[in-house]
Amino acid sequence: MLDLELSVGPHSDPAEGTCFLEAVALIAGEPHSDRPRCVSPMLGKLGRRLNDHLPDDLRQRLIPLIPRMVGTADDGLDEAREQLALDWLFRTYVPTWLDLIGLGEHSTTLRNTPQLDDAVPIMLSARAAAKATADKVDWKAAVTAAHAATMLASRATASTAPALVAETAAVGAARVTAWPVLKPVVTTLQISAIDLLDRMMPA
Amino acid sequence: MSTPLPIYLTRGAHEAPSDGLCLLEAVSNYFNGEHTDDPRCVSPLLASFGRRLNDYLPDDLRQRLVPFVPRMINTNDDGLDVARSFLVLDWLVRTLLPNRLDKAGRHEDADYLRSLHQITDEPSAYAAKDALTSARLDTFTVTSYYILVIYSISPWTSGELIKAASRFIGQTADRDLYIEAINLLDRMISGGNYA
Repeated sequence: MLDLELSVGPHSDPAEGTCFLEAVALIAGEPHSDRPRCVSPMLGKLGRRLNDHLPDDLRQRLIPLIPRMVGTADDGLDEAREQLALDWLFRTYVPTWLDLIGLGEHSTTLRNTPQLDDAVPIMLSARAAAKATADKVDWKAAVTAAHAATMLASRATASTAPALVAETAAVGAARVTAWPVLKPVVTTLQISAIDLLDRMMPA
Repeated sequence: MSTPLPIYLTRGAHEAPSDGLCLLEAVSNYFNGEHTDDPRCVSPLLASFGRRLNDYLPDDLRQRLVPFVPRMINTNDDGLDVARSFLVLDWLVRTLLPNRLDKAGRHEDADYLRSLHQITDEPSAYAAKDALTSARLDTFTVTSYYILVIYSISPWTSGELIKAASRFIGQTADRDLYIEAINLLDRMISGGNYA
């Protein structure tokens, strides 16, 4: 029996459960797989990792996106998707952490930087500032903010952005396990990442 | 219409009317002579379904769409798109799914779905959803899975219902189902009102 509820994948048989990408394969009429041919490989990778790292309740919010993943392979939108992902990392993900530790000035500068190429020095100074706040605010948030800034300063380009968004999902899940105090902000970012995936697909 | 329109519909879209007309191009041509397969005078739901149905139907059945050409004009913003969406959902639950169940030899389950009240609004939509998830239909088919996914999407007029119905029509070669799809478009144009 197929269950509408999405679970962590992959599954060797649909009867054992369905993950987000397996559900896409199912309704597209493709053989059982978590890598359906009709899906943009970039969206597939992001979708698989979001599915696997989201908590059970938030994972179900991927269900309405299942039909819209169909037909995204070779639809010519992957470059636009990379830009959306990069924009989310610089203007939503890192600023959210910086705001949490009282570095509102840095996050405002980041949100208002027109060219993301110029954001690397801002990111490096934000990282230094985040490390400096560690003894004043919750060090767990400060460590995570510094990690976020480091990750973007050293590795973020348009082509790596979707993979980095996926990585934030994994980081968030691990942080919540280790430090439950961070759960509210991680949840906000997880919901925002689902919204990003939504915006990455044709309406 | 007393005289049928002198139109022969072909698969779209076409660069110029001399290359042929699909359903939506014929509507636009009839409306103001413009050549486009997305005329502004047509409800986006009807346009989306009409374009796909036109392309999926075999040549002979496609000509059954000709009488719809004048009726599709001025359906944009006519306030009937919510009713149209429920007509599509009703078709998926009470026409398409029973058709599939019959093919699998599950005639009792098919009849059970056909016996449900027509879906015309949210309460009847959710009553049908309860029936789909009831123990009675304990074996989910891909069709019912897809329909349940559609239930998670809002608003009803988002177009995903149309895409789902079209996808099923595109995957079939069943003439009975084609005719049911033509009947659906007929009901959708009038918004389900036959007063």
